[in-house]
Amino acid sequence: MRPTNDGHAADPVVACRGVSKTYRTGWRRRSIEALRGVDLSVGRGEIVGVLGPNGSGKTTLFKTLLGLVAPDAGDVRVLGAKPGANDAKARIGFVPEDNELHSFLTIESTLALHGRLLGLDRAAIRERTARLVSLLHLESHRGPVRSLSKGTVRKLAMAVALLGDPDLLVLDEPTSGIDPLLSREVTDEVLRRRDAGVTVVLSSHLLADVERVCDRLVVLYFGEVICEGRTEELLERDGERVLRFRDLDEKARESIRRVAIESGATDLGDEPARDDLSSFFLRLLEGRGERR
Amino acid sequence: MRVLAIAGTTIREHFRWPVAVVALLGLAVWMTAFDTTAASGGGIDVHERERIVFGAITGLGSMLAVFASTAAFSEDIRLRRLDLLLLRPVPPIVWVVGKVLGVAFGIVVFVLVAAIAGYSWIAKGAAADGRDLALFRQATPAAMDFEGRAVAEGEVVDLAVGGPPVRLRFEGIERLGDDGRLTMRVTAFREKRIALRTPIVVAVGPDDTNLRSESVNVRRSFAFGMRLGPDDIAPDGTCLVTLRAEEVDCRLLVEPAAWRMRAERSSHGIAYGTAVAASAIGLLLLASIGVALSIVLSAPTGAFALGFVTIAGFMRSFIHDLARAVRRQAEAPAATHSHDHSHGPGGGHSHSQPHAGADDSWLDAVANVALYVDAWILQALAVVPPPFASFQEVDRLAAGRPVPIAALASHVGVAAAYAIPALLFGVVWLGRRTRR
Repeated sequence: MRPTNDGHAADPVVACRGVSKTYRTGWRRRSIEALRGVDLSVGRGEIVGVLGPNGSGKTTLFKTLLGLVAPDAGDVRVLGAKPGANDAKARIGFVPEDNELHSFLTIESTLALHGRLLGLDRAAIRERTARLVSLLHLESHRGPVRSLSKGTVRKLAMAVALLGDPDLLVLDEPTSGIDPLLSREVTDEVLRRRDAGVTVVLSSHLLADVERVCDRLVVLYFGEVICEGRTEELLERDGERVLRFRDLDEKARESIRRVAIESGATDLGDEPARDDLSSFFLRLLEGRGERR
Repeated sequence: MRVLAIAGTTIREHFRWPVAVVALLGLAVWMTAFDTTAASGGGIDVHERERIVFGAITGLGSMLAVFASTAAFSEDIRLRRLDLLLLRPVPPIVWVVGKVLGVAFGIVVFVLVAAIAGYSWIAKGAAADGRDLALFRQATPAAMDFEGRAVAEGEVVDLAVGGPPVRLRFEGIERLGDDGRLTMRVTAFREKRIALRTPIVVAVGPDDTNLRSESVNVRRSFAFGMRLGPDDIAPDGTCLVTLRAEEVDCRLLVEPAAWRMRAERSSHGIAYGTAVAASAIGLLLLASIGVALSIVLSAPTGAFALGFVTIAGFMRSFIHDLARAVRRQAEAPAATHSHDHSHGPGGGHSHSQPHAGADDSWLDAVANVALYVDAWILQALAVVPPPFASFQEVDRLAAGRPVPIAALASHVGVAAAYAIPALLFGVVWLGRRTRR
């Protein structure tokens, strides 16, 4: 199945055409095809989720967009420029898969370092640091990065990515290894940025997060795009509808079922409506106060 | 600003307090571990302390430079930080310069601390007027005679326990003034092997009737010095020195050394400062090569490679000295002469005794091989000059011996000829990381 992609914008923020990349590893230079003719177009203010099993080429695709890996074939344009151009670099925020931060720096000094590398002046660094620390609830964490919990470090990585007020966010598994509450904080921030016009490309194995935030999905399998489309369209089941009721008694339920069968519908069963576990967990903890 | 941010982070990462503690402890242990008692006079051997201080600066500084520089980029790669850092709009050259500056700062701080501590330590052994901070103000050729006969380079004398002492007469002592210092380079051999410590009795005086003696441990290839007082010098400006074996038979290779002249503290300070600067330059250039290596090699591999080359450079000169000494010792039967003397109350002595020359052939062979290898290395280095040559000038500078500015500039130039291409290679390679 390859649904029609209606996400192509006239002036896309990310545009990949036929991108291929082959790594050669080991003494015998064994070839590993990481990407095979990948096409991808992401418009402004869109959140695109890149899904796929481990080794499917997600990280290579991201590194290609960031200019950290050069494609063997194809054309890549990010923010209208070649990947790796300094102008484009300053407008991209990246949350890597691993916590790639200096373990001996504090939250403030980490943000100060990246602010200076971005070329921000002291006042701007101070202002943005205060804003991001408050936004991501990092105020109470004083020690060096190595003393922080994994979730806090992921939030710090997110803050580092947002420091330059980027036009494009590339998030490589931003919610991996963190609990649903922190995950919700991170994804909420992603949605806020999307609403502010920021383009987001993300990957995650936590499909509930992807489903919640992504406007469009791209599924990679061994370097090839095998599926692409709007999230809700991809998740629709052909010919199936869900009717939701509350306080429906047994008699009314049987009547509705009978009418449906008489009109030619196939009975697929009847069961109580259920939350997914993530929603249950979040609902359970809702209103119990902010956790530090 | 970006370059300072990178340098600052590098300093904070590679020169954290445990490194400072280890460096300072190492410095303290290094300076106190050696016996710096003067061979004669009971005071402090200032020159020995100078050698120890610069040994510490060069030795500990090299380790610091090697380990800090080879971790500069490799730690970012190992900890997977480099991708995020390279995503910042910072040109590769700024990264490389920032890292070099960070490592350089740590090294300079270490060198300054070591130099100041070392100078205080040396000054503690100096006379109030600073005259003990010796300089070879001028390269006065040695005037050392075996009873009036000029000593050849590499002369070997035998000492037997209970046998007559070897008598040396030094001329031109009056030029030293009251607080003159007499040094000679002595290599001791025991049973055909170089001895680690050989106790001999050195006696100094104007003549055989006025000798003051002291037991001295002659270490391998160590110069030892004697402080001469007015009473040690004969009216004709000569001084008699006798050497006698105290516990075991041994052979001594006595090499003429220059008279040590005294100098003012200020001029010595300049020489000391120049030597510190020369050390720092050598270390900084070593570090810049290490930073370039860290882009392509992991920290342990880079440290091993750079450390190996550095140690090999130092070992080369050590092996060269050792091989020369061994060969002279092995060639001793041909070089020495046999004749008996009877000189005053000290009695007669024999300068040379029969040697089992054939037994020494293996030593000769080893020495020849070592010298051959050394010559081969030198030949190779003539094509690819070593960047560590400035270290070799430090001793000369610290001792106050004149080193032409052109020679120093040449060494720095040669070292830069290594460091600059290495850094350029680093910049290009770092840029290539994004084009893999």
